[in-house]
Amino acid sequence: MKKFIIFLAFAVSLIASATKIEKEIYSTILKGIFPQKKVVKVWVDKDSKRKIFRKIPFIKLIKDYKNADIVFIYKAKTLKNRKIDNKIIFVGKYRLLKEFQDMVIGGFFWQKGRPNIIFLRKNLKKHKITLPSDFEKYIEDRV
Amino acid sequence: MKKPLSLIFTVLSLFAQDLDMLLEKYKKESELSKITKRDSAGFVYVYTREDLERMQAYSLKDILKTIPGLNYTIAPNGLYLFTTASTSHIPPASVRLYINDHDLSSTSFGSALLVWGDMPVEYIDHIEVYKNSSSIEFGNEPGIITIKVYTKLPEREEGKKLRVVKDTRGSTGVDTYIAKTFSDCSSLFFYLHAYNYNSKVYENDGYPIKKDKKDFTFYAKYRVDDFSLEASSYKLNRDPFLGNGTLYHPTGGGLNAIHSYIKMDKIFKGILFTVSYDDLDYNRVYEDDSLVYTSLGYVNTYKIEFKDKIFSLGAKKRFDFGRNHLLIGSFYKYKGFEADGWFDANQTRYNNHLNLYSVYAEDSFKFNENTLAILSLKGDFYRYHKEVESKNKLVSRFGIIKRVNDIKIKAFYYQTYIAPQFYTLYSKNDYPLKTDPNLKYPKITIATVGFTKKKRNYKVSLKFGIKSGKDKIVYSYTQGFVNLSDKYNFKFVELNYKYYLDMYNKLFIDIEKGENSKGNFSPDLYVNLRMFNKLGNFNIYNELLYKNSYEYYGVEVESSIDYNAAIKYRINKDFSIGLRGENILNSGFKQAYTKTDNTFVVTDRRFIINLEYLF
Repeated sequence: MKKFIIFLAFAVSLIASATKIEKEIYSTILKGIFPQKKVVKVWVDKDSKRKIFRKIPFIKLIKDYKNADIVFIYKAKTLKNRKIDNKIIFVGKYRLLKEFQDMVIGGFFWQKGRPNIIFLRKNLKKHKITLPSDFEKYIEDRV
Repeated sequence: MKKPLSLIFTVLSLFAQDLDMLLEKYKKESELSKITKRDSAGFVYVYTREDLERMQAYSLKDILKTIPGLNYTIAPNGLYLFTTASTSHIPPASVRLYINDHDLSSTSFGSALLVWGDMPVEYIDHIEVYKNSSSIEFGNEPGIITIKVYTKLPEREEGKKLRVVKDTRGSTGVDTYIAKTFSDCSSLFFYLHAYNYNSKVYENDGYPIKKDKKDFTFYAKYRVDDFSLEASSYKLNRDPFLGNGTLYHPTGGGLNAIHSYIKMDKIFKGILFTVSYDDLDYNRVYEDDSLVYTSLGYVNTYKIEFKDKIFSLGAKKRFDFGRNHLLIGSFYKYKGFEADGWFDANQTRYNNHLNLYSVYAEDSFKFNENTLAILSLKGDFYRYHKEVESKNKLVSRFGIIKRVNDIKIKAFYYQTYIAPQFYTLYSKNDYPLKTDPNLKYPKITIATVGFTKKKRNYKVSLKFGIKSGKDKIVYSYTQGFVNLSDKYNFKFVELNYKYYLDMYNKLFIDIEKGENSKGNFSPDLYVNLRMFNKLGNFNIYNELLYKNSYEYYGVEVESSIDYNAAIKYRINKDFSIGLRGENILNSGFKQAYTKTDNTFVVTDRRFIINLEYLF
């Protein structure tokens, strides 16, 4: 946080490139989950991440999570305070994936010094989601 | 309906194939060095986390020896010091080492790099080295070389790691860390390191010369919101190497040092506040058959113990006024000093302390998208408890960064000084230990200019510089530490070439030639060649460091090629096995010393097996 604030102005342009790739990763994940949807309704619980999703052309960001096709969660309190367990949930932190692995379909997060993507088989099945065969390597039973 | 569906899945399949590549690219673009690096602070050399891993670097020495234009060599007492192309040792105080912006300072030596110079790097994410310049915001003690190391972030680690190394000389090292985040958004990082290093045994006139060491490191960081707390301790035990005898015939002794610190950061209303406390114990014993020369004449055993206690405060704030970015800040340091000396049966004791106050301002003015000017000013106010005269010093720096098409031009003019440190003020050549109040602060002026052309797959830079100084502090066997009144200058030209074949394969070539107005005390031509390659699950690293021949006080030393290489096989995402060879050709750099005609290899030839497991 400290470094971020100190070097904010300097870092913005450099982070832009990472943000662009992050957008591509989310775009690929969403196309894998919703192969036939032309527009995917997304709810996100973090402002900085909302800016990334806004740049994905087939995404419609919505204000009420109840109307979303999928919700992206970065804060533990969102999962604790809201009854959204019937929604398709994708998380952005390893801790959330581990703690709420009975609820969420997967996550994109940093762990062991590298970015990871994991989908959870049981919850994909619960939501009747069939991922493309090449996503199989990212599907696990538990974390 | 069947065809469109199969088309959708074909497209998705292509996306999925790209996902691995996207993750790799994301990792690269998210490197923390891209956030911490201060391009405006001068010429910076960055070692990313990926570089450190592929080099299989185990200690800071493995990195510092590869910095273009610098030679990380070993002093007679076994400690590491820098020389630049052609020069003698750079004063320890002017090489600043920071861990997460914490200045590892020392009251006795100015910089604790003398102790931490061979620190482990397993808990380090990346390293930045600034040469011939320094940003004033880094710290209040001025430097010419700034080494900034940044630890791994728990938010990115979320797990545990174990690393074990074993080499062909029987050295063993173990590193482990745990990184965890919590539901209240706080995080914890905890690291332990232990290393038992066995060196090759050399001989000087029949006396065994060793540089064995044992070190132990502890590091912990807790962070919540805008508050962070860090604590660390580094314990070092090192053999005497040549020691300090009249003919370098050591029979025992060595170094025992322990440096611990605690540091807190807090951002409040946009102001970053830093508080820290450092405690350094440096215990050195010289025992020599040829006797150690001191002010009491020749003694069999000379022992010195320094105790440093440093309390630091810092505050800084940034202001943005359109094209103007202003940074203002201040530092305060209390530097306590205690020294005990034993000359066989005689003992000396001394203590003093320094209050160092600094205020600074730096303005960056953006003329347009392609031109940036930087002006920095810092006032340092030295107030000693006794005997040493108070001083007020000014550090100033002016820089301009301009982009012309695909060429970036950087030019800096830097006026600074090196404060005399307590180990020079209280010379062992005086008995009882007493200060030399007349020791002047050496003045240094550095002017550098660099041109960098960057294309998609390569980057080439050409840099020129001149450093001039006066009142340099040197050690005289008859007078102790004294100022050299005459001026000196050092000129250099450096060429850097980086070629990126793809994301995994790259080649770095660095050439530096130096010229010292006082004659050569070390090689004046360095050529570094470093190559990173990837073949399937194999990561291969090759490093070739050439230095030309030189003469040191009548001792001729031949040119050297220090060839180091590392190969790492990734068994799976979490488990890898590696082999690193050091000075493989056994033709690495040899350091010459006064008082002996023998020369000694800085890097022993050895091969290291490296196991790393993430869980």
